[in-house]
Amino acid sequence: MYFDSLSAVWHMDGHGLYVWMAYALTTLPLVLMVWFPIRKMRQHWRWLEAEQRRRAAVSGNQTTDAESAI
Amino acid sequence: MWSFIHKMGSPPWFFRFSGALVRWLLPLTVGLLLAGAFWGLLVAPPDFRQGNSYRIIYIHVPAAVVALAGYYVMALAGAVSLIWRIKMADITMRAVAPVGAVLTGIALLTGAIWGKPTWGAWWVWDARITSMLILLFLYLGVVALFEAYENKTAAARACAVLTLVGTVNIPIIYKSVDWWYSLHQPASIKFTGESAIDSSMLYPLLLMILAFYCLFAVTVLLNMRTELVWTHRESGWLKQWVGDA
Repeated sequence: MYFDSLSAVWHMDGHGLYVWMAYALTTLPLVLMVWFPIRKMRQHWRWLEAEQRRRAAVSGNQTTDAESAI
Repeated sequence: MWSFIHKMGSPPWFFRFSGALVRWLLPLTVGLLLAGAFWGLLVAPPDFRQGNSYRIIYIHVPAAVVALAGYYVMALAGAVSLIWRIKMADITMRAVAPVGAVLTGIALLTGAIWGKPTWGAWWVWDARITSMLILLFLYLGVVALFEAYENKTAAARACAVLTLVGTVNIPIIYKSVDWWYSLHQPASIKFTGESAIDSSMLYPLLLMILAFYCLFAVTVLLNMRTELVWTHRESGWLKQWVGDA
């Protein structure tokens, strides 16, 4: 460990602002970059499940219609 | 090897393989990034000339290195897409472009922040920096071009052409610090010969480069899977998958 106190870590001998700004402005887009496709995947997946339920319901109705027709 | 590449072109196989891969690669990436950042920010010694501002290197260099490597992936996918018309290549190209744009943006942004205390300026129209800016526009151009076309096959073809033409920029970026008199320092890490950086600073840097490669792989795979699910929403294998899940 190079620094001996938390405030030394924060100040970094006058360069703290630059270093922490660089790290903060890197972390944010990286997190978003990973989070966006995961969120979109979940949306797609929900859509697919809903679609499958919808189709199952439709085919279920059709058989009952057919049965009642007989 | 060939059978592996062949399998990768099959959406159901790729979907299963990438799902398993992402599941352990994502936690590994987060771990590597945290370890590398901790090492670089808190453990490594300061630079004797630049002091602590040099710690930006641990995100600046990995972002730039992987942004360039990502362009190779995109260009290769572009070539495959043009020659063999493989859909997976189109999806790869489309998945890489936003990741490359973010990484190039980070390299430029952290470079600007590093430049202020080191050179006294946020921005200089230096050959290295300008050619990186062009790389950013190439990535953004591919993202925009994909969105601009209604017909995705035509979009992929246009993007592949743009990507391949843009490849000219890559050697310019590499060589810019040697060809022109530049503020930007030349490469400190060399494959041949001694690196111009002490091992106490080099190891965390190599760890961060590895972490950024993993991050690139994870994000590209996630993007590809998301795109794949949507384009194959009518396919039997995916319906089967959703039904089983």
